[in-house]
Amino acid sequence: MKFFIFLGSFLIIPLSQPLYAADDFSFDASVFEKQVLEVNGYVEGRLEHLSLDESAALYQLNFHDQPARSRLDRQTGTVELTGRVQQPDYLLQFTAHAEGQHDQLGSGDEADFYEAFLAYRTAPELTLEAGKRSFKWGKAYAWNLLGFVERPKDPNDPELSREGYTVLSADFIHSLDGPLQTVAFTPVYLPVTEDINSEYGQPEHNNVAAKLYLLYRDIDIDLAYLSNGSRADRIGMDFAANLSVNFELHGEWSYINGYTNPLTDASGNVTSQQADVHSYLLGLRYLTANDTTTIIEYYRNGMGYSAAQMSDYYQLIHHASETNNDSLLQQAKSLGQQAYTKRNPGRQYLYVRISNKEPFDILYFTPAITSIVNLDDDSYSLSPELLYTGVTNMELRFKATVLTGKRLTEFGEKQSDSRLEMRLRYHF
Amino acid sequence: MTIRKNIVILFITLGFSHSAQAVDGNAILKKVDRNLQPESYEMYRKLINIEPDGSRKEFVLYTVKQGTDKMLVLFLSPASEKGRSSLRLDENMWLYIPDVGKPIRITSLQSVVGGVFNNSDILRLDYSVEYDVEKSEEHDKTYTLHLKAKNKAVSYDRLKMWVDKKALVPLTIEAYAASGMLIKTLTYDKVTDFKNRIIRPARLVTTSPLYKDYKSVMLFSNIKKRSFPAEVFTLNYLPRAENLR
Repeated sequence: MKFFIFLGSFLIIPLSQPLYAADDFSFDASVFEKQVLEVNGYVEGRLEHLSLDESAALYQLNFHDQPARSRLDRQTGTVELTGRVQQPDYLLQFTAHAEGQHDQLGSGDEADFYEAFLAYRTAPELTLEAGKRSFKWGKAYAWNLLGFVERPKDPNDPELSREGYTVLSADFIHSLDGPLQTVAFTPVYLPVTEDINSEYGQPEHNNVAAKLYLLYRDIDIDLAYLSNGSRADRIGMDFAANLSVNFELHGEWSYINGYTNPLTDASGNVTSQQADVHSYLLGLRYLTANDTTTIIEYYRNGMGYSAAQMSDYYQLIHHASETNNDSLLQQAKSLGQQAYTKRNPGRQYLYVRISNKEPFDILYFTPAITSIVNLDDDSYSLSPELLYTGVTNMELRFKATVLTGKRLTEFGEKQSDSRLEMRLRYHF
Repeated sequence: MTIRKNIVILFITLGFSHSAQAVDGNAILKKVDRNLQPESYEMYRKLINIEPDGSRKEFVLYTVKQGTDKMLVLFLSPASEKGRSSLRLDENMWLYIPDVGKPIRITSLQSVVGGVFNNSDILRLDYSVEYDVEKSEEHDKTYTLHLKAKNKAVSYDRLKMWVDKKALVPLTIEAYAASGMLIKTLTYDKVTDFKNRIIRPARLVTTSPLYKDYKSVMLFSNIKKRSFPAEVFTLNYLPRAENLR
C-alpha cells in the first residue's frame, strides 16, 4: 500500500505545475551541461480489468485449481531507474526495474537489473562493452525475427523495455564516401551456464552472435548470425528504406537450422518435430497529410503451428479439464510454456496499427487502433487506445482490447474476452 | 499619349528587372546560411510550445551538424524525452528512442515534439541546400527572396523570406505548401553576439494558421563551430550521442 501512495505522490506533482507568462523566454544552456552522474527513470501505475472467458481453453488451463471467476482486476506499480556514470572514455550504465502487482489471485513483486554494463569508448569508431546489455536487432515494429540475443517483443506493447543478457560485445563503425555510406559490425559473446543467462537456452554453451549493418544508398541493411549452442544456429537479414517522404518499407528474414518444437495431438500424445525453418516479415509505415500513421506487417512464422495443430492443443486442454485429469492439464501447461502459449504461436499473422497525431487540433493527443490477426484461424485482437502527453513528463493511456475468435482458435481460446487498461506514467 | 504611356511603363519594367537582376538571390541565401551558423557546428536549442491558455511545454535539444547534409539532434529535456536522438543524412531521417532501443526511419513531415514544429524544422539543413531562389527583390532595408524546394522531400514547397539587408539574416519567413496554402510564419528576432563572429537572431517564433492561437518559440544558445568524424552520423552511434557533449 505504501508503495502505491509513494507512486501516487509522484503522479500528483506535475499536475500542479504553474502556467507561464507567454513572453517569459529565457534559456541558460549551462543548466544542461553534461553531468558525471545522471539518474532518470519513471514511475508507473496501471489498472487493468479483464473479463474472463470461463469456457476458453487457456482459462481452464490457468484457473483449473481456482474458484470460478468472471473477472480479474489487477493493479500494477512499476519503477524503472536508469543511471549513468560518464567519463570521456568510459560509461557505466544500469537500468533497474521493479514491479509490484495485486489482483484477486494474490500479490507479487519482482525486481531486476535490465541492464548493467561498462562501456569503453575512445572514439566513435570503436566501443567495447561488458555486462548485462539489452540488444534490439531487426527493423520490424511488432515482431523481432532477428532478435537472436534478446527477449521476444510483446506485439501488444512493442515499445516496452526488455531485460538484457550478460554479454561481451563490441561495435565497429566505418563511414565511407560513395553508395555504401556506412559499415558497422557488432560481435556479441553470450555465455550460458546454470548461473549466467540461464533463461536464454541450453546451459554450458558459449554462444556467439554478430550483426553487420550497411547503409547502401538510402537502404538500411542488416545481416545477422547466431552460432549453434544454447539455441539452434541461425542467420537472418533485414532492410528498411523510404520509398517516398511518407512511405517506409521494411522486411526481415531468418533461417533456423534444425529447430525443434513439441507437437501434441488432441489426446496428449506428444512427438517432437524438427525442421529447418524460414520466417519472414514484410511491413510498411505510411503517413498521410493529416498526420495519420499506418503500420502494417505480415509475419510468416516458420516455427509456428498450423490452425489444426493449435486446435489439437486446445482440444487436449478441454478434454483434460472436462475429465478433471490433472496430469494431462500439467502436461498441457508444460507444452504451453515450451511453445503453445508463447506469444504468437501460429504460422501467419497480420499486424495493423493506425494512429492519428493531434486530431481536431488537440495537442499531444494521439488516438490509435491496433489489430493482430491470426490469418490461419481468422481470430484476432482489436485494441483502441487514447494517449495524452500534454502534461510535461506525464503519459496517460487508456486502452481496451477485445479478443475475437471461434472455439479452438488462438484468440478465441485466450483466458479473457476483453481487457480495459489505464496507465499513468511519470518520467523524472 | 498612348505611346508616351507605353514608354513610361517600359522604363519602369526595365528598371524593376534591372533591380531584380542586380540582386543575386542564391548568393544572398548562402550568406544568410553562413550568418545563421557555421556549416559544421554544435548548438543548444530550447523549443517552447505555447497553448492558447498560456500553458507551455519545453524541450531542450543538443544539435550537431557536419557539412551540408549530416545532422544529429539529442533531446536533453524533459525527462520523458531525454536520450531520444534523431539523425539526418541528406533526405534520410531516423529516430532513436531509448526504450524502443533501435533507430526507426521517420519522415520529415512527422512531428517528434508535437505542436507546430515537425522533424524538418528540428533537423533543418541550410536553406541553400534545400531551396533555390526563384526570384529576389531589393527594398530599402530588406531583400525578399522567393524560394522553391529543390525536391519533394523538403517539407515546404515554397518559402518567402525577408532578409535584413545590413545583417544578412532572415527576419520573417512564410512557408507555403505546394497548393499555395500558407502553413507557417517564422519570425527571427533578438540578434545576439554568440562570439567567434557569429552574430545572429537568438529567437525564432513560429505561428501557423493550422494551429490557431498556438505558438512555438525556438531559443538558440552556445552556437560553436566544431567538426565531427563521419562515424558520429550513423545509426550505431545514435544511442551514444550523449558522448559528444
